[in-house]
Amino acid sequence: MTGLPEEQSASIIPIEVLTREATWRRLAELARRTDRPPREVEDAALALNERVEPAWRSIDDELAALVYDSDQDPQALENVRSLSSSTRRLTFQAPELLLEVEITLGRPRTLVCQVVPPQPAVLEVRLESGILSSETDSFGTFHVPSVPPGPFSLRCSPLGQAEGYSERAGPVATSWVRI
Amino acid sequence: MAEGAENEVAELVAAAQRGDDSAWRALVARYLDLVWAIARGHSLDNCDAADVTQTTWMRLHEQLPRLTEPSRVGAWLATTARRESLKVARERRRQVPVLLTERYGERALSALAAPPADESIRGADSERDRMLWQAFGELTPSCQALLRALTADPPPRYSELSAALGMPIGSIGPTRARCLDRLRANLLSLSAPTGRSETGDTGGKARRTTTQTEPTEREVS
Repeated sequence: MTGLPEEQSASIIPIEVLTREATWRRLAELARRTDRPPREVEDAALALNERVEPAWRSIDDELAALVYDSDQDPQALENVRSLSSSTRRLTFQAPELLLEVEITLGRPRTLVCQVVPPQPAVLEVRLESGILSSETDSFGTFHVPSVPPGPFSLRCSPLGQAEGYSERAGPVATSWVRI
Repeated sequence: MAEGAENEVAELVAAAQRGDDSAWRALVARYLDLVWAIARGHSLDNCDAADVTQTTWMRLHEQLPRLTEPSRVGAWLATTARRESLKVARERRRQVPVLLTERYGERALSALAAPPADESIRGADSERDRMLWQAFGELTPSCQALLRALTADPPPRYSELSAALGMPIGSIGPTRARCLDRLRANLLSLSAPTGRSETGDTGGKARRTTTQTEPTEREVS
């Protein structure tokens, strides 16, 4: 036993005499050999920079953070169990406005977004496959009849000021969420 | 880790912020495995770990223009990966069929949460590999998270690990030692019934040499 260099010993000595560091080397070797990230995951991460148009990530956009997700809310989940069709509710918050999103998880899955306070805006739904873009109605409601599962993000550019506000809010982009 | 490495990472971030695609690719190459290892360390299967990894990189991409401490991008990624992993793990636990837990109690939960089941580990071909994964799967969740993150290639810095685990830097070393001792004890008890027959696998040395070429291939791409 004593004559073996430590490097080799991890692979051939009996478990009973494995040292702590030899155990470590076996685990590290095993993880690196058998559990690498899949190729498609790597490709998707690499391609993010090419695929995503610069307009998507304008520095001027305020980021609207996800502040409510019914999937993370035990109370809401309890209620969903008793319903036949399920709905996921998301709220994104930016300094000047909220985006309330409701996704009906049927076939097709529909998405309704309400800008709060109500105001007309151009809404872009950013999906892996591209962008769906349209204007909300004058009350700030936006309806997409069919959205594919996967990651999505919304970009909202207000077209006028909300009632009672003197200025138009700047464009807002939400963080990415998987639906 | 040396200050030079921090500067290097900060420069990569700055270049990626200017839209330099090769800098973005270098960041992915540097941290992809860490993000993956963090997800795996939270007992996520291949599919969920892929989701977490993808979401984490999308978050970085969207936050890139706003990143205020470019040299800490690794810690930022680690924190995001951990948060996303915990979120997915929580959802999965909730989806355990009620009957299963009623019948088998908490054991059903821990069995489902157990990581790397045979079929999800692509290259685990020998009995020895399986036994080591099994011994690993019997560790506490915090030990699994720490040890798995440590195996990331290239190895993470302690500041990144600290972010990945929500653990003070000073306790990483001692915890690592404790977890490895437990892993060793688990291995011992697993091998006890059959003695040392599985250690006769001499194929291990040959595989060891082949894996050493992997990192260089990845760096090139």
